This record gives sequence, structure tokens and C-alpha cells, in this order.
Amino acid sequence: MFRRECKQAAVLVLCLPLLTGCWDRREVNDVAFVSGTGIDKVKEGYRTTVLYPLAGQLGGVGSSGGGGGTSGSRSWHLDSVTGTSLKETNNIQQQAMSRQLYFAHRRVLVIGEGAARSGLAPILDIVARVPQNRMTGYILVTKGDARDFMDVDVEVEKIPTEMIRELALNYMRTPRTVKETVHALLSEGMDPALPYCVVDRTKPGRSGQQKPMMKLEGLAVFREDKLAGLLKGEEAQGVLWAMNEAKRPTIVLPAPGGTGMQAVQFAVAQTRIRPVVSGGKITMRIDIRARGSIAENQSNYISGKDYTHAKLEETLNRKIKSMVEKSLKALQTEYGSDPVGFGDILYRSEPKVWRGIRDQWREKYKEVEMAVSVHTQVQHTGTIVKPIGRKERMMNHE
Amino acid sequence: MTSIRHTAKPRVSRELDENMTRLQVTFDRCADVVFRMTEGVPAEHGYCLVYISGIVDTARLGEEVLRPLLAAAGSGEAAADLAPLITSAELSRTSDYGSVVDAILGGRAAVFCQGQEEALLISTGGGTRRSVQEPATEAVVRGPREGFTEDIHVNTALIRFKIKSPDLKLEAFTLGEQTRTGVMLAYLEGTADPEVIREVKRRLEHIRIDGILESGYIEEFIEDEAFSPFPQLHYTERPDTAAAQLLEGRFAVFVDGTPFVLMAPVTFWEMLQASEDYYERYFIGTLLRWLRLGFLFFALFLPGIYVSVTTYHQDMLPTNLLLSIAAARESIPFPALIETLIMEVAFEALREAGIRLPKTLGQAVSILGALVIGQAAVQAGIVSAPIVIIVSLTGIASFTIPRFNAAISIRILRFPIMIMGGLFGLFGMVIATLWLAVHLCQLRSFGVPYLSGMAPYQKGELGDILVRVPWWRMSRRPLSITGLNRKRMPAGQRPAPPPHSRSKG
Repeated sequence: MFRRECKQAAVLVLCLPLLTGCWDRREVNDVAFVSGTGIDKVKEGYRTTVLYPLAGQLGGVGSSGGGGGTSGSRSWHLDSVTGTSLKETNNIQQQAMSRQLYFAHRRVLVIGEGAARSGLAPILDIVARVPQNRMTGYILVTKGDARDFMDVDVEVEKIPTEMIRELALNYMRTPRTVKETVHALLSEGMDPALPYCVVDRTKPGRSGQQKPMMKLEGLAVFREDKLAGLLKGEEAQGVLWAMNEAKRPTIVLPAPGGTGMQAVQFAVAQTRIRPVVSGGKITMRIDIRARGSIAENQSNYISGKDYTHAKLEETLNRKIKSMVEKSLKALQTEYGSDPVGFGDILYRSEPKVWRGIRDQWREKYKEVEMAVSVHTQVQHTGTIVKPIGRKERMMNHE
Repeated sequence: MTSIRHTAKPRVSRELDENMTRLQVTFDRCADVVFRMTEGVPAEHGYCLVYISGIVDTARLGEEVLRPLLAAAGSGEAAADLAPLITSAELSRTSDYGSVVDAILGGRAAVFCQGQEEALLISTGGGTRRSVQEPATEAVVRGPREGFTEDIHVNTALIRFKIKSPDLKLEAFTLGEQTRTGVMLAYLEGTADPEVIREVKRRLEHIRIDGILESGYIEEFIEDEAFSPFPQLHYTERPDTAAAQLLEGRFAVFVDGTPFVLMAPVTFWEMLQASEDYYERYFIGTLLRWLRLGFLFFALFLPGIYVSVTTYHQDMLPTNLLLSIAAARESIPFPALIETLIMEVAFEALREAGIRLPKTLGQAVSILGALVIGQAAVQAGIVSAPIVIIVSLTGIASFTIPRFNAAISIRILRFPIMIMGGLFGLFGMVIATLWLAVHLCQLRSFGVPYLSGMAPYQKGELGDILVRVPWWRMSRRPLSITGLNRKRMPAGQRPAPPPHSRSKG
């Protein structure tokens, strides 16, 4: 009895390998792990640039190479192809590849300036549609072509995409992923804003040669899915403050009554926005609270004897306020973009008002009054109190 | 011999000569049997001492038996009964010839007297056996250092030293047609489940075999499910472990000639329990148990997970880890499954070689193996470095399981799981795990579900499964083992500082 059952089970088990196969088997050495994709707009349609690390060059045991970009052969490969659609470009790329292009580990999606101006939505479709693609990859915009940006041989990281990823990761408090961007696109009264990067050149010493390098320049703001402007410097900072996305922001300002510059780094920066609607007039009350400490003091100014920093804080408040106001003004009038999501905020707190004006929001947005109030707190002066290297009698006590 | 023992129950004869002739036929060509005839005694007072040399203590035999007998013979008085002269503590009589033969083979000396229909059986002990030593297989940092020996009487004595209660019953069996091996069933009456005891007795009595050389022979005769990779009886070399099991209502089977004592019923969770868990403070016991539970998972699944993730589910790995693996696997000629199988089999062979070889050579094997597997194979590009890490981690993990036989079943099961993972990915692993879970759920050890405590769930028993609660909380015996006499101690014995502490003032 038992023997018969055993035989039957054995037959079944032996059938299993025949019935199915290891069809899905995909050894890691048959796969090219795409770590970043760049997308540019060209005449025919799109140019897709894929970057994948060359596993054999990554310094594994048994491979003779290793080292990466610094010593001759690079540890990564860049391939760009043009076509009418993104899938088509991928197919063309695959035809010239011995390994299967594998997108599940794509960590950055770089959008060239031209492609960003022509619209994000058609590009993002394939990212969301194919399950292999990850919505958690970081997305950013480059000035000029994405291909040129990705081709920069970075010195710090083994693969350029790693560098790009870290840049994107450190710019905002919630780094912009594909998911965030799609969310911003789909939300009413909100436009995406992405970090934007440029190719810069290093300034080495006399003997050195100039080399290209990656640099995060500022914020790309969109109107719907189309790039509306590239903001940099304080203008970008102001938007980040308003978006509540400023990551450990630093403000450099002339010391009050002093003779040099002072820098304050904020550990905490919180922005709260509350819309007030009174008779058709919409006011956004933007309340910024930040706490930080003095990071540098080149001046001879020293804070009050009781170690309060009232005067400094007041200067800071004014500075941040004007910065944010200027940035918002530019967004309202110059770019017509709403990355902060004022419309969304209004929708959430005053849905009835929103329903009345949603169709004219773009127009109304220009007239929204921004009431910015800043409250900063300088908590301490770092490890030293007085400016170092200055004699006591030269100090300017307030 | 068998014919003598089993046909028509021959009796001891009145005539000494007749007995001697019969014995000499029985022990024909048995050079180790010694017949010590009296000399210088009239034939009507003659007697003969029969024993097997080497398994009796001849010095004691001379002191306690021969000397008084010779003294009596020398005095010229003929005693009608020799028994009062003999000073040995253990003395019995029998008229059954078969029993006499058994007794002589069992290490006792027999005295036949002219004119008596009974033989005197004297036990003097003796025979060279290993002394009580520290158990080699179950080492502890804290806990008793004594281990069972090959002598069943020493072993039962070791248990008796621990449990000084008349409730501890030891029932003797003799198994093996040729070896006549002494087997003892030990249990605590009133605590052990009588149903289980009746069942084990029934199973023991059914054994028909020519010889029992180790408790493993018996284990395979009395287990519930012969086709399970999981052991349904545990064995131990430690008297304290055996005593603890007896106190929880289990039984123990002692077998003469082996230091390994069988215990049952057992559950899966005992696989992860070491005796030391109960000797060190409960924090340590609990943490070690978690560690073992985690490594049990590794020992069973790690190679399978590695194979299935690297061949099917690359998206599940962090990018940098994947790139490292990809870089390491770049020039490897085999698929991940084959690679893992090669290394796992090599590792098992290495371990086996290390155990079987003489100790001095064993060292050399492990060094060579480490050299071959750890370095040369990787540098030659035959296997990748991550595999070496996986295999060694799995090996270490299987060593953390305190019970050797349970660890072996985990070692075996690792292979089908690995193959399922290599053929069907994580899906296959899930199927294998489900099959395993179903099997464990239906497995019984003497009627006790193998996963008792967890499935079927028993309230309060998780305290000795997932954690090890302090002793004062283990006031009840596990219900899954026995329903009788569940109370181990009165509850509420948690220690506390005295209510009015002096430092308060």
C-alpha cells in the first residue's frame, strides 16, 4: 500500500521538471542592471540614455579589471539611442546588448531640459506602466542634455548614477521620486518641482586639467507637466522654504552693526500655510518657524550679554521673509507655477471656495496675497561664544 | 544455546556432575567461562563455581565467596546450604537452568552444590567499563559535568542520585535474542501519562531482533512515523537532562552498552532547548533561544533564499548588494543553484570527514577544507565569494541547534528547499515550507502533536517555547506531555526585597 503511494508520488515529482521549466531563471551574470536613464527630446522623438555598471569592472574576485573610471577602462557603460517612443529606444538598445536590460534597480531618471519643456507626462507613462520600473527612483532635470550630464566621469563614486542619486537625495527634505512627481501632476492646484543639475567644470590647481563635474544648481519648477523655469540661488531657496522642503538651510547675512558676514544654520525649519478667504480675496498666511545655531561669525559683532540673539534673529526674519516673498512673486508672475501647492492647500481647507474658482485658478493664483511671517530662534553659538581671533576691546557688543 | 533456553524449561539437577556436564555442553568452546571445582572435599559435599572471566570482579568473588567456602571446607564441616556462608550483598537462588545460564552470561557467578536442586547466583559487579566522565556531545558552561556511561546500572544510579523518589519507576526488559541487552524504562509514576507508558511498553515488548547494540536500534522500532526526517525521540548523554524530562512527565529508555538515553514524547521546540537554558538566568536563556530560532531559519532557508533571489528576484535586493553579488558572480561558470549545491555538498562532506577521521587528522581536514573552499575555489573563479559566506553561515547556523539529531534533519531538509528555490524561485520555497508545515502539524511523538504548545495552542506553554520564563513562573508542567499532576510548584514565588528595607530610614 505504502509502496504504491510512494511510486505515485515519485512519478508526480518526476513529472514536475517536465511540466514547467526554469524559464524565468535569470542569472545575475546575464543581466545588465540599468542604474539610471536619461531622456532627451530630439527631432525624431526621444533619445534614451541608459547607464549600467559593468559588473566585471567592479572589482569582483576573478575579474582582472576593477578600479573604475580613474584608470582607463570605466566601470560603467553609457548607451544612447533615439527613437519615436521610449519603448522603441529600449528595444533598439536591447538589440545591441548581450545582456538583458533590467530596470528594477534604476535609481535615477534624468530628464533633459528639452524633454522637460515638452512635458513630463508622456515620459512617466512607461515608468508607471511596466512593473519592473520602480516608482521610488529619484527624478531630476538637467540644464542641457541628460546624456551629457550622465556622461560625466565622477571621481567620488564608482558610477555616475550613484552621485546623481546622492545629489537628489540631499537637496530636499523629501527627495523627489517618480511617485512624488506623479502625485504632484495628478493633484489639483499643485505643480511638480524637481532639483536641477548642471555640468560644471572643476577648477584645479595650476598643473591640473579642468574636468567636467556634476553640480546641483537649483530647482526646476513646472507648470502642469512642462518646465516653466530653472531657479537657482536664493530664488530656489525661497521656494524650498515655502514648500517646507529646505533641508538644514543656511542663511549667510551681514552681521547686525558688525563688520563682516555671519552664517546661521537651521536644524529645524517648519512652514505652515493657512489660507484666509475674505470676500473673494485669497490670502496665504505662511508661517515659518526655524531653530538653528551660528555656524560662522567673521564679524566683530557679539550677541547680547544675556546671550540672546534678538537682533540677529530679527535680521534673519527679515532676510528670510524677503527671500520667500521674492521667490513666490517670481513663481506667481514670471513662471506661473505652483510647486508649493497653494491650490491644493486651499482645496483642502476651503473646498467650497476651491470648487468655485478651480477653473480660473491659474489666473487667481497670480493675485493671491502672500503674507509671510518668519520666526527664527538662534539657540546657541556653536562651540565658541565670541568671534575667535579678535581682542576683547575690538568687540561690538550690541 | 537457544534450544536449551527455550525448550521444556530444564531444571537444575541434584547431581553436581550432571549439571557440570550440561553446562560444559552449553558453554562448549566458550573459553572465557571459568569452572572452579572444589578440591579436597568429599564428593558428596562438592560444589562448583561458574562465571565468565572479565565481566565479574574476581577479587571480590574470591573474598566473598571462595574464601568462606574454602574455610568451611577446611574445617571439615559440610554445610547443607552454602548460602549463609557467602558474604555477597546480592545473592539469589534459582532452580531454572535457563535462568542460570542467563545469569552467568549477565555477569553473575553461579554456585552449584552436590545434592541441591538450586543454583546460587552471586552478583559481585565488576567488568571494566568506562567511568563517569564529562559528556562529549553535550557540553555546558554551567551545569553538572557527569555523563552517562555504557553501564546501565551506573546510568540508572545517576538518575536515582537526582530523583530520590519512590515514584521513579524503572521497569526492566531484556531485548535481543543474542545480545540479551538490558533495557530499562524509567518514568515518574503519577506524573507521566499512563497511556503513553502503556504504549511504550507495548512497543518495546514487540521488538524481535537478534541484537541491540545502541539505543538507536530501539528508537527506530518505537517511533511513530518512520518516514519523517524529524526525530520523534530525543537522546541525551546528560543525567540532568534525562531527569528534567522525567520530571516533565516524559519517559526515558536506558539501554545497556550505550551512554545515550532515549526520551519521549518530544516536541519540535525541544530542538531549540539546551539544558543550560534552565541553569543560567532566564534573560540569557531567552536571548539564546531567540538566537537559535533565528539561526534555525538561516540553517533551513538561507541557501534557498540566496538561490531564488539571485536567479529570480533580483529586484528584491538592495542595489549595492546586488552589484556586489553581480561583480562576484561575473566569471562564475555555474548557475547559482549548481554552485550552491556544490558548495553545500562539499561542506557536508567536509564535516563528515572531520567527524569520522581520527582527531589528529580531523584538524588537517578542516584546515584543508577551509583552504580549498574558502580561498582557492573563489580565486580560481569556480565559485563566488558570496556563496562561501552563505554556506559557512548556514553551517554555523546548523551548529547552533543543540540537538544533534534535530540539526541533521534540518541539514537534510535544506537541500529540497534549495532545489525548490532554484527551480521555482520564492514560490517554490513557499510550497516547500507549506509542505514542511503540514508535515510538522501531523507528526506525533507517542501521540503528542509535534508542534504542541503552538499548534495546538496551549495557554501558558509559550512561556517555555518562545522565551524562557523565570523558574518561579513555570509553576505548571506542559499539558501537552501529560495531563496528570500538572502542578510543579505553588505559584507566586517571585522574589522581592523585604517590605521594610533597612536602607529606607
